[in-house]
Amino acid sequence: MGKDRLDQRSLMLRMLKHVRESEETTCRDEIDASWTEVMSRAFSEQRRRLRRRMVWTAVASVAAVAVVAGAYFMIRPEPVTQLTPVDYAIFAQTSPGNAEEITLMIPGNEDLLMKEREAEIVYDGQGTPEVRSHSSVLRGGQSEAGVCNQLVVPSGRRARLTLSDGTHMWVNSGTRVVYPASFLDKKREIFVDGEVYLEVARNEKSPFVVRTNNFSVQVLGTSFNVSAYASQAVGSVVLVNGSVDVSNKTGADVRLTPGELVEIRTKEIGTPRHVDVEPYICWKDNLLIYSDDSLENVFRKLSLYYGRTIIISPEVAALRVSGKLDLKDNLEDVLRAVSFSTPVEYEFTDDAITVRKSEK
Amino acid sequence: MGTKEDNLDDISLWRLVRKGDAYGASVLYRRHYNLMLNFGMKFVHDADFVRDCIQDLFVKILSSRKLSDTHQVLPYLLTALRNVISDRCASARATDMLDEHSFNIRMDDSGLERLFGDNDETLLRSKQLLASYNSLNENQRIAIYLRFVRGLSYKEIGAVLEINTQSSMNLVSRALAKLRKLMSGRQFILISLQLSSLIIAQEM
Repeated sequence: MGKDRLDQRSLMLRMLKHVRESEETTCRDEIDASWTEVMSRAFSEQRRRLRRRMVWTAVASVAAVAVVAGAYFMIRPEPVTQLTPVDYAIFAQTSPGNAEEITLMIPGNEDLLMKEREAEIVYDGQGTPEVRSHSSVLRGGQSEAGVCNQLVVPSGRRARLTLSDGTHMWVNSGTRVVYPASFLDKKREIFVDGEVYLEVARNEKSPFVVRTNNFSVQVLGTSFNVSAYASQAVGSVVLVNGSVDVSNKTGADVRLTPGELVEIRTKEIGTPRHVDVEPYICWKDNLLIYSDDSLENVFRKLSLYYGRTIIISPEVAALRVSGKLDLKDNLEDVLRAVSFSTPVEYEFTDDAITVRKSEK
Repeated sequence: MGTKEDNLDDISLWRLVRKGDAYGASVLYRRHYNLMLNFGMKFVHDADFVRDCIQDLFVKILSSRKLSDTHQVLPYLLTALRNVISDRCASARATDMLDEHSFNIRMDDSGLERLFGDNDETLLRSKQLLASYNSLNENQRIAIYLRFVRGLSYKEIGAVLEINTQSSMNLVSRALAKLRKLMSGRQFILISLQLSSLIIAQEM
C-alpha cells in the first residue's frame, strides 16, 4: 500500500514534469523579432486605412489616383523598429480637445497631469523631463533614445517646452506636440497639431524638421511660428530670423526670409509676403495684437486661449478692429477692454459667453 | 531595453495599451508569449500557425480604437487568442482541423515510453492517466492545465472560462474527483494534494 502511494505520487510528478518540459519555449530574440513584425503589420494596417481615405478623395481625377498608387509603392512600410514622431502621432491619436489638463505622455509611464494654467517642461540631454510649475517640480520617466513623448495642451492652457537638444518651444492652447525624448543623431523631427513658436538650437549636422498634417518645415537654427490646427483649413509659418524651407505633400516648396509669412492650404502653398511678425508671435508673451482684423478672428483666439465657448452674432463677427490685449488678465477684463473700443456687449452664462452688438 | 514598463502590472499596461501605447502592448506580448503559444497549441497542434494567430491578435489590438477595459488581462488575451484561432480555422474551412479543434494535451507514446518504459505497469498507468485526462470535458481539461501545468490562479481560470472563482474551484475539484474515479485507485486522492503542494512549491 505504501509503495503504491509512492508509485502513484512519482507517476504524477513525472507526468507533470514531462508535460511541463514538453511545453514549447521561445527565446527573447525570437519574440523580439516577432514583435517587430507585429508593429510593421499594424503600421501597414494603419496606413492602408489612411490610404483608403486618401483614395476616396482622389477618385475625381484618374491622374490623382495614379499619384496615390505611386505613393503607395513609395511608402510601402518597411519593418519598423523605431517609431518616428509622425508614426507615433497617427498611432497614439489623442485630441487636445479631449484633455482637461496639460498632459505629458511617456510610453510605459502613467500620464503626468499639470493642473496649472501654464507649465514648463524641460528635458535634459538624456531625455528625462522635469515638469515645473509654480507649486511643484516633478521628474518624469526617462525614455530610450528615439522614443517619442507627447505633450497635450488643451484650450485655456499654455506650456513651454525645452527639448533634449536645447530647442525652446512655446506651445499654444489646443495643441499637441510629439517629439523624441532624446534625438537620434541623424535628424531632429517633431510633429505638431496646433500652434508653436520655436527657437531651434543650431546644429548643422542634424537638421530640424517640424511636421504637421499638411506641410513640413525644415530648419537649421532659427526662430519661427508654426500654426497648423487640424481643425483649420489654413496653416501658416512666420519666420522671425534664420531660414526655413516649407514644403507640402505635393512637393511644392518655398524658402522664407526673416519677416515673411506663408499660408498653406491642403493642396497649395501661398506666396510668402512680408508682415509685421509681432502679432503672430506675441501669444507667447501672453499678448494678442490685431490690426484691421475681424472680431470673429479675435474672439476665436480668445475662445481657444481661455478655453471658453464664445457665441457671437453675425453683425459682430464682421466688425473690423485693431488693438492689443493683455491675456494675462482674466477673460472678463479682456472682454471689457474689447467692449470699450467696439460697440459690443457681452453676457456670461453657465457654459458660454454671448457677445452681441450694443444697442447704443 | 529594461525600461520602466517592465515593472508595471498587467492592468496598468492594459490601460496604456487602450490609450494607444504600443510599448505597453510589447511588454504584454513578451511577458505572455510562451503561455499564449502553448495554450493555443492545445487547440491546434501547429506552432507556426499559433504564432501567426498571436501576431494577428496583437495587430488587432494595436489597430483597435475601442478596446474594452479589463481587470483580467491574461485571461482576456487567452480568450481572444482562442477566438482568433477558431475564426481562422473556420475561414480556412479546414474541416479536418475543426475536428481536433478542442483542447488536448498531445503526447506521443514514444515520449511516455522513454519516461516510463522501465516499468510496464507504470507505463500502462501513465497511459491510463492521460486517457482519463482526455476524457474529461473541455473546461475541465483547460482548468487542470492552466492550474497545474501553468500555475494560474482560480480567479484567472474562472475568467478564461467565463465562470466565477468559486465555480472554477469546483470545476477543478470535480475534475480531480473524476480522474480519481477513472483511475479507480483509492490512493488517487493524493493527486490533488500532491498537485497542489507542487504548485505552492513552484510559486515560492
